[in-house]
Amino acid sequence: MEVTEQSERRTARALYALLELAKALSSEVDLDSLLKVIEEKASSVVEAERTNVFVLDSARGLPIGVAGDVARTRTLVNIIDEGGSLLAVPIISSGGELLGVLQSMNKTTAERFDSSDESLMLAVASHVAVAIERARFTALSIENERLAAGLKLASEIQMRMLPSATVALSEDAPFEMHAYIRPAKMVGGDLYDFAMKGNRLYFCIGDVSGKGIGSALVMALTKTLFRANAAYYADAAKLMEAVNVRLYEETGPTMFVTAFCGFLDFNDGILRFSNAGHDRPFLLRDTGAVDLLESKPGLALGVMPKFQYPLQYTTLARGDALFLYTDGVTEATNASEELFTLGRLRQTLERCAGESAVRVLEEAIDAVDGFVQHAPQADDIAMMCIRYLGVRRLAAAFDRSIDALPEVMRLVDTFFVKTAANPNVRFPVELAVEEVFTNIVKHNSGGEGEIKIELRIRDQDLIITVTDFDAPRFDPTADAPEVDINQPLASRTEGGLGIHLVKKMMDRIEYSHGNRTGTITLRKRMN
Amino acid sequence: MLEISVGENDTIILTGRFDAAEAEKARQIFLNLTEGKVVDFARLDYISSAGLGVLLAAQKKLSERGKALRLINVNGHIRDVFHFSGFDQIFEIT
Repeated sequence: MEVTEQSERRTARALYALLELAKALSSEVDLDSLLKVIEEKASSVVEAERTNVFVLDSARGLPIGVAGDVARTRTLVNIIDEGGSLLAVPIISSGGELLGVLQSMNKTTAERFDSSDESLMLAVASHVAVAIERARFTALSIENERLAAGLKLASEIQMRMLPSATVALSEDAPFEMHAYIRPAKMVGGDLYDFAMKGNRLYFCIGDVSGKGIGSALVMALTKTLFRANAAYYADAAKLMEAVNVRLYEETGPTMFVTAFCGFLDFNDGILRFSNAGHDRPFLLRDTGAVDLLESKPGLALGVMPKFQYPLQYTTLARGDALFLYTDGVTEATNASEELFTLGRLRQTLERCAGESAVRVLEEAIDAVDGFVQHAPQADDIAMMCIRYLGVRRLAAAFDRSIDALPEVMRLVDTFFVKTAANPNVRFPVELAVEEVFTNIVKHNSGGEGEIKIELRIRDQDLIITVTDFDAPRFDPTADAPEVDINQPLASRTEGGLGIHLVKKMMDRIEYSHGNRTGTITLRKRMN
Repeated sequence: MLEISVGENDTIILTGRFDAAEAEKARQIFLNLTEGKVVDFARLDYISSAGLGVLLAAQKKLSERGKALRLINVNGHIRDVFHFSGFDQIFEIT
């Protein structure tokens, strides 16, 4: 009877301790604090002097001694030796994974641990297993959250590395362009870059092998290498070679990058390019024709340290556009596992005749999205469209002398040859330039320095600006004598005739003066 | 460049560009005229107020003698220039 009472009291105390342990386990998420609680509470459950939890750690391997034996055999050990009594049980997860060993030493109320201690110990161990798993899962999800936040930041950094989709171009810029990128995951391996280099546009597009963070890091490296080396190399093949050597050094032969880079010369529309294993871009001709740009594909970047990339060139006519893309476009896949294909891309581009670069990309994106529908995006997508508009602005400064007139007329001639200016307005433009120039030469012969003449196209207007940097205020639109074109021959004079003709032949004439600088701006509509 | 030559029936033939750079050379020739002439514009590409000025001076000088320049083959933009300047009222253009 007494034994029973004692045993019941013990059971009650043990259950209470077990309950406390369970409570503690459910509120504690940090594994180290959890282990302390387990060690403390388990000792009171089985009335041990002390308890240790050995958590299995793949890096550290199995514990030594009895705990090691328990781990290896996954069976309970209940012994007495010269050191005292010892009870050890394996901690096994619900999935059967060995998580550690729970070991109590020196029974305080008896010589050794009994069978009910064994049962209690196994009960504690199963609670501990759940707690360890939960703690690990919590740590993992916190780590995941951190990782997700890190990825979001990485994604932002990556997008910020790329120049914004459209360069801020002046209205008379010789080209227009737009770029688009959409990584399949938070971060991607596709890249593009571009920058103005004097009279040329440098650009590149690339695709790093693989996906995920590794590719994203190589993407960042590649973009940086292109941008940095573009400052030194004006030759697309040499640029490719420089990037290739460095990429090989930095990444080794397992990673590679396909890329296409080029320089577009604004003066003549010549595109000098080099291809490192990248998909051939499309040429969208002003005539409406769409062709793949013939290009010898060199080896992908980062594969061989000393590879000679081919330099090739083609000439873009005014209005021609280059469309670059990565294989995420042509290999975009719909729910039926069908690819978008080069053929569909070509058909899309054929519908884009005469569209702006922005519109071309919008059309292409719409076509891809319309095809893929709700299927998940498998690969990064990048596209870039560059349209050559031809020279749209020319300027030069001339001696303050009638003798400079042939040179002035050569500027006008070059302008009409190089730009899309309507040849129908050539005569009035020549006349206006001559009259304004000779007017300054005649009326401000004492002025210092050269006279600047600029011609440019803005939309359908041809704009002429003549600037005299050392001039008193003289507004030919107001101060020049009025010409009566109905006068009889005898009372006619030559004066004022030039400005009179300019007013007649131009659509608009404006004069401004400030800081001893006089500027005449003329507009002629070309349509 | 402006080339001034004499064709059949003493017709003055203008070829090229009659602009400010060429006007002084042409002025010497036109102001030395004492007889009325036919001036053929067929091969003239361009004329500015400097060219008009020379023709005006010549026309005024000749008119004092009751003579005049008569212009033929004045086309396109050059005809506009004569119209805008009212020179079509002081030259006979056929």
